[in-house]
Amino acid sequence: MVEYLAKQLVASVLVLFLVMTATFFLVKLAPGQLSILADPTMDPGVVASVERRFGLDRPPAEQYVRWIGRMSQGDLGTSLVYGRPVLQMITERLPATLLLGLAALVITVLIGIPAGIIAARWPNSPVDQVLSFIGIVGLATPNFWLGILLIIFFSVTLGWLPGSGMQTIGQPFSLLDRASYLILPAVVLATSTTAEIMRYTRSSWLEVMNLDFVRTARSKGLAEPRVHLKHVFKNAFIPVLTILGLMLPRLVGGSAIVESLFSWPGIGSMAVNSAVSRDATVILGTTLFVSAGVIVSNLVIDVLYGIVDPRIRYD
Amino acid sequence: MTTAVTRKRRTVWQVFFASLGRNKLALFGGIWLVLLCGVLVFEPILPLPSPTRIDIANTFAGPSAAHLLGTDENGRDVLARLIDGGRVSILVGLVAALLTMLIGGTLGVVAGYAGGSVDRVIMRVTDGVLSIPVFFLLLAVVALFGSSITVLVLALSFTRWMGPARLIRGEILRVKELEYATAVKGLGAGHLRIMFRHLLPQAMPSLIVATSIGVGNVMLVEAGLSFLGLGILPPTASWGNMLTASQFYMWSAPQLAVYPGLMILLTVLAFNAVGDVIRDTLDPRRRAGGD
Repeated sequence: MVEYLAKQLVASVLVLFLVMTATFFLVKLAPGQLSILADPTMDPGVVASVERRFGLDRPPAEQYVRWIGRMSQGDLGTSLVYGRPVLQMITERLPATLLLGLAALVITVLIGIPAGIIAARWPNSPVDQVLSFIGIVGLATPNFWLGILLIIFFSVTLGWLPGSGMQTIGQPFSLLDRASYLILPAVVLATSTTAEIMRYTRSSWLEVMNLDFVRTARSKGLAEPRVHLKHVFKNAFIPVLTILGLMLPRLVGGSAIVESLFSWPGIGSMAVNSAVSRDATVILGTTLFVSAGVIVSNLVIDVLYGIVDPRIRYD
Repeated sequence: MTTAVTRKRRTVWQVFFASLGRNKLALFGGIWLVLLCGVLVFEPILPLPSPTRIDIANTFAGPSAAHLLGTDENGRDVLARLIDGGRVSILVGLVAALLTMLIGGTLGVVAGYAGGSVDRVIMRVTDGVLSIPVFFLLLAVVALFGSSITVLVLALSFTRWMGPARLIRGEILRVKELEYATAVKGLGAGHLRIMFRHLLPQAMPSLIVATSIGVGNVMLVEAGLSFLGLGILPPTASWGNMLTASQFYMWSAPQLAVYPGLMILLTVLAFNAVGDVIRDTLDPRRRAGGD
C-alpha cells in the first residue's frame, strides 16, 4: 500500500512538472513577448523593464530553472492587466467554482448512476432504449447551447430562474437565492458527465451480472432486487468510481464555458476573460492551478481506491 | 487469394449496411452526413444569398422565399451562414481528428511495439496529459498565439491524442505476440516495417472508429471556443460563433439560437452513431456476440 501510494505521488509530481514545462515552452514559442501581447501600444522602454522584471532577458535555460522554481513555490506572477497577484485573484474566485463543480458532481452521481442501474436492470426494454437515446443525445449536445436554450426557456420566457450571476444584487445572502442561481449552470455543466456515467454504470453493471457469483446468488433463491443491491452494486461500483475520477478534468474544463455563459464569478470565467484580454500570466497561472488541483484530487481518489479495492494493493 | 479478398470485402459492406439498417439512429446519421457533405461541397453553385452580405434594412426577418430561414442581426441570410459555417466547422473537425489520430496512433504503435521503458515513459506522459483540464491549456494557447484556423487545428490535435494513443497501444500489445508477427520478424523485417506495415493495419478498425467519434468531439470543443470568441473569429461564420451573437438577442430573436446549435447536435450525433456502426462492422467479436 505504502509503495503504491509513493509511486502515485511520484507520478503526480512528474505530471505537474510536465505542465510547468509545457507552459514554459508555450510562452517561449509564442510570437512576441508576454507584455506586448497584453498591450501592443506599450512603450519600448516600459517593455524592457517589464521583461527584466519577469527575467525574460536572461538565457532560456536560466529562465526555465527560474520558471520552475517560481511556479513550484506557488508564485504565479502578477496579472498583466490588473497588476494584482494571480494566486490572490484565483483564491478569491475559487469558492464559486468549487460550489458549481460540486453541484454538477452531485447531479452527475444522483442522476447518472441510478439511471444506469435502471437501464441495466431491464436491458433492451423500452426504458433502457429511452435512457440510452437520452444519453447519446446528451453526449452530442454542445453544453453552451443547452445553456442558451435553458436561459431562453426558464429565464426569458417563464422568468422562473435567473440566467446570470450568482446572487440577487442588493439582497442579503440566502440559501434559496443562491440555489436558484446555481441550478441552471450546474445542470448544464453536468449534462455530458451524467450521460457518460450512465453509460458506464450500465455496462459495468451488465458485466458484473454475468459473473458466476451473481448466478450463485440467484440460484440460492435471493430476490432479484436483493441480488442487484447487495451483490452487484459493490462490484460494479468500483469501475464507476474510476470514471468519476477521470471526469474531474472535464468538469473543471467545462466550467470555463459554463461560467462565462452564466456570468458565474469563478475561475473559469476569469480564465476566459484573461484569454480574451490576452492576460498571459493569469491564464497560465490558472492553468497550472487547476491542473495541480485535479492532480491532487486524483491522488486522493487513488488512496480511496486502494481502500475500497484490496486487489489494487498488490499491483 | 484475390477472390477470397473480394468476397471478404463484400461481406464487410453487407455487414455494414445490415447493421446500419438495424440501428435507426446510425441510419439517420449516415443519411444526414451524406446530405450535409453534399450541400457543403456544392455550396458555391447553390442558388443562395451571400453569407456575408449585410442588409441593415432587413434584420431579424422571418422565413421568406428570399431567406428560407430568415436573416440575423445584420440582415445576413441565416441558411447561407449555416452552410458557410458548417464548411469551416467540419473541416476543422476532420483535419484535427486526422492529425490527432496521426499523433496518437504513432505514439501508441511505438509504445506497444517497443515495450519496456519506452512504453512506460509514453504511457506516463499520456496519463499525465489526460489528467489535466486541457480546455484551460487551449485557452492559454489561444491567448498566446492568437486564434487562427491553423493554431486552432494544431492546438486541438495536441490536446486530444491521448485516447487514441492508449487505444492503439492496447491493440498493438494484442497482435504483436501473434504468430504472423513473429514470422515477419523472423524473416528479417525492420522495426518500422513491422510496426506500420504489419501491426498497424490490425489496429485500423479501432483507429477508424476513434477518428469518426473524434471528429464529433473536436467539433464540440471548437464550437465552444468559437462561442467564447476565442476560436474561429467573425466575419468567418462557424456554428459556434453564430451562437455568440445569438446570445445578445435571446429576448428579441430566440430562433437565431436554435439553428446553429441544432446543426452541431445533429452532426456530432451522426458522427458518433456512424462510428458505433463501423465498430460493430469491423469488430468480429461484437459481430458474433452482439450487444
